[in-house]
Amino acid sequence: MQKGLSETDRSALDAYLVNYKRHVLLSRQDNALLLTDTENAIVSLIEKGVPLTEALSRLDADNLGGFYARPAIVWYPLDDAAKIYPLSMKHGQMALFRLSVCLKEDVDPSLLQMALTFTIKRFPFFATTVKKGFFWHYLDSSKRRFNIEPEQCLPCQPMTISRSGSPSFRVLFYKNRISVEFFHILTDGTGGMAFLKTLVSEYLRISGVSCSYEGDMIDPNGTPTEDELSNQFPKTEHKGKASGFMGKAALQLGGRLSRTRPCRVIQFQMDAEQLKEAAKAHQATITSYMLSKLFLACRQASDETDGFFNIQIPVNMRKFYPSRTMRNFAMYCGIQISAEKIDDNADLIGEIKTQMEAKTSKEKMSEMVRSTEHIVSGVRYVPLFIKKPIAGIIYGFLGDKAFTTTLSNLGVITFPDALAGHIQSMDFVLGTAVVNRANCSLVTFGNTSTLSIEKLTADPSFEESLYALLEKDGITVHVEGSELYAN
Amino acid sequence: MRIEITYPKGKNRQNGRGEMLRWMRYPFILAAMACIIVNVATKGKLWSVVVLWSLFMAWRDIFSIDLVEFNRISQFIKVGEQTCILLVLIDLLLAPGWAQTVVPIVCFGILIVAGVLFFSDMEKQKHNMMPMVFLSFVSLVLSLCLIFVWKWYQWPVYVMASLSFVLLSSCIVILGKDFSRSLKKYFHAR
Repeated sequence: MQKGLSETDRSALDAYLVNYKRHVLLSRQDNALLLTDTENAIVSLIEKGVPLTEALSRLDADNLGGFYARPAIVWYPLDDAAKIYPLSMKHGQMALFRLSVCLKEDVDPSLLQMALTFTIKRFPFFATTVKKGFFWHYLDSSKRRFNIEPEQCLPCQPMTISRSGSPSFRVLFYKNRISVEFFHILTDGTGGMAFLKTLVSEYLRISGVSCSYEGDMIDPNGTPTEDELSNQFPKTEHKGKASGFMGKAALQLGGRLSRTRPCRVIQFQMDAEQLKEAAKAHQATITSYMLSKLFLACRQASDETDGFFNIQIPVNMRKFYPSRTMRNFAMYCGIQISAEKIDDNADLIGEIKTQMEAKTSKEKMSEMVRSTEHIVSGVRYVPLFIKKPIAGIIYGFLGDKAFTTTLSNLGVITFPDALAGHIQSMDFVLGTAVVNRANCSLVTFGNTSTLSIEKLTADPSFEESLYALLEKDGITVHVEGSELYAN
Repeated sequence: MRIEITYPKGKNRQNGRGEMLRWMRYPFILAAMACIIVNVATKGKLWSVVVLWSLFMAWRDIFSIDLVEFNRISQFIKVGEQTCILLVLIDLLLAPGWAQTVVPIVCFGILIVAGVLFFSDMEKQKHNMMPMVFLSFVSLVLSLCLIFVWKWYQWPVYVMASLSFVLLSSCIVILGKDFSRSLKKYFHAR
């Protein structure tokens, strides 16, 4: 790389490499890979016309901090909500979710790789690998080069977490899209979004966009706080009864389950203002309004009429117990409407609003937290080799049969103006369930709300009904997605 | 409804192992049921227990492999432990009188190989050492019981006791604080 450089540039590069080597004390293989990443990023910036000194300044080795120079000694017990994920996973079935940002320009992989290298140190909880303990699984820190991958498959394909040091997340790129997929054992949507926002801000900084870490933006060179790494469940209120887990089987959407999971991803990009207006016209929140449309679409996409539809709603516990934790801190509830009561009138939204108020209250969610704690503490000293098959059998019976589908709304995501100008849209995709034919997730960025539907059946009735219902309410919907992989 | 394709075309990861497990469980269940029926019908020794355990071993070690912690030490020890149980079952149910010599030999053989795997790449394998430490501890306790409680004065038991003691103590001495940290992680109940 040093060929053809001026004397000043050469000495700047030498000084850079000396500083770089002080910061990276990994295995020989990882050292070589990290060095190659750095070289590729420098070359890429130079090819874009960035002077060498400026490129070296953007890729300053100080951004590596002490993360790659210290041994991996930290470990984390799983939070209460995460404990079920390694127990219930099977071959080809893991609880995953994906968060994506579409930029206005195509992604430069070499710069994204460096952005990940710089960002991961701020999220030590993510730089871990899942291990088996005698009683519970835990997360053991892993010091290595975390790599990005080109996107080649549909979202939320199961990941291999069993090898030594293998992470529980993946960073993907495709054209102008940067995606991060997380195994739910690590974090929930809020923690995942904090990571993605930091990764994107770091990518844009290396690309030459000046950014400030205001509001909820995280400085990748900052120090992780105790609050960010803590399990918040034990800190919730411990009074009142424990309840909230049992449920009868709900009606499912029609259509044969596909063997390819998912068989399709469809994204409805809607004008956020129009969506807000439509919800306001029904005196409902966006979540309640969208739920009403989902119930109607479910009714139209199912031949069964004897029973009820039940839509699962994740509830962010941070709104009741303010916290900056990056770990799981969400519970869920089910909004249940019997099939015969579902028709296009105001009663439906009224019923949804009533149930939402009752079931997503702080008291109800705290009861569920207590249930979780009771279960966790009840089996605390049961060895893992006994817990695992029992949990597998129970989860196999219950699974997701209690719900028809899920609607997870991450709300409005904001970036500082300097960064927002480079971002086109965002999306959020939930992984597939076991028998639920569709999973829905909603996120809003700027004036675009994106509803993602991850399908487990080739039957198009659900999304077509939903599309027609939204268009009928005057919402312009632009539909994007994947090919259909049915078998 | 027109869908603009924004995802890469043509590729999707098939759930190969999941599909294989879906199909393979039928011959396994059939074989298990068949051997129980034949054993009950023909009476005599309980050989079907040995077959069932062997089927379980084949299922867990070849088909339904571990989803968490699939590394050379953990896999070798898992197969070794299962083999010891198989040998004990054969001894108890089919041909008695040799397991007390053979099982300790197999056990210390596993400890030797696990030790070599561990010490040949200690920096990386120290994150995977707990199954080995656990086996060493169980082997040590078992061999002390065999010697002092059941009075089995056989050379494989002495070798097993010495090897497990050496392996455990060298892990403690070499790893120091890392060893106690690993114990804390492994046995945490939070």
